[in-house]
Amino acid sequence: MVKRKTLTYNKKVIPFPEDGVWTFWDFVQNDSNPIEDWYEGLSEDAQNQFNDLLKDNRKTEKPIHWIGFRGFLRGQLREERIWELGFYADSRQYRILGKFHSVRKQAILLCGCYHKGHIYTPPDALDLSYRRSKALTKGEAILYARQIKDDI
Amino acid sequence: MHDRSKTISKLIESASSRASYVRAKLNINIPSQIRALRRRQDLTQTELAKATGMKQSRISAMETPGVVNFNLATLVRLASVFKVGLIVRFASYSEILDWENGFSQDDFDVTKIEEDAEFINPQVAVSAKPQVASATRATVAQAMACLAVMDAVAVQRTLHNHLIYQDSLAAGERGLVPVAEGIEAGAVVVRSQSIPTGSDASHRKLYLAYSRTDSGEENSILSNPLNSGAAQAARAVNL
Repeated sequence: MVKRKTLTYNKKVIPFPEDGVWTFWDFVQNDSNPIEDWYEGLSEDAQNQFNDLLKDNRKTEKPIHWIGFRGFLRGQLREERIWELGFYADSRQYRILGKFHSVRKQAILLCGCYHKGHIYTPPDALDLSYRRSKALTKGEAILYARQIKDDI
Repeated sequence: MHDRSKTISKLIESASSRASYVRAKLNINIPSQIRALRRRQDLTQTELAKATGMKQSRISAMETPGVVNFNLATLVRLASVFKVGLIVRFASYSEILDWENGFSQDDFDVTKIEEDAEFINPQVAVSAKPQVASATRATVAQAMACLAVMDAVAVQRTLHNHLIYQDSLAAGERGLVPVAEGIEAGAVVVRSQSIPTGSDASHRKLYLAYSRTDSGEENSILSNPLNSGAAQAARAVNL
């Protein structure tokens, strides 16, 4: 990430734009991180792409401009404001379901899956996302900051 | 935890890992560039589709990571509609990483051909540049005034574009990520994060003398080991 500093000219501080990037958080429950487990099960291609996708999107201010952002899902998922982020690798359409934290520029990853012909794998990916979102609200789960590999 | 050394070893040993690595970066960065330029030029996907003779669904696919296996013809077609050029060249892994880390969809912009004074009329562009070898106090004062009113984003963008695309830099110095340290006597002092010149990966200061005319024409000269013009200008006013 480019470090930005302020410029000073004749003691006048010219502030650079806000330096904040998005932070992505993994859903963690009962000492289990299903996002990281999902990631570990991906092919090398998919892992690289997922990491680079987050690396790129975290620098984009508005999620609507994120590449791969598919918007909010419908029904009860919309009530929880759950959205999809998608990318293609290994001829598969991968999706990561998530929601925004109440704190600015924080995004929570709820479930990783892939999608083909209107079918999700795992088949209960949407339901899982909903339940995990609820679990977070009830304090039954925690978040773990996703490490973005920006040195590779 | 991320084990970088393990990843590096794999990249060194395995051609398929190297291909996967580069492919992932292109699958993300090209869609992001397309979206950035489309946004910058206030085009909808439909408008871009019409301009390129493609369908909107194709544009949408191109902005989705990994969907489209881009070929040169498609990229050239997009570049021509965006009125920008295209460079395709092989690069070191450090340069790829530097470029990726310095890239932001929100900030990415490329000078359109009709605004590219240096390309349209290089003789005029050269003569319009500050004569930094013999810079006068008035010239430097003008540069200082310009820099003072430029917003930070414009300065950063100028520095970024200049260092990334500056052909006069030696080959080992391309892809630097500029870190502006301050404005001194009409020249913005830029420190590169690293200059991989052989075994000497030390930091080095570069000087950028920048000016903007009343009509908005912007000119800049960047000093480097091969051309210390801007540094001379800065020294002329006791930097």
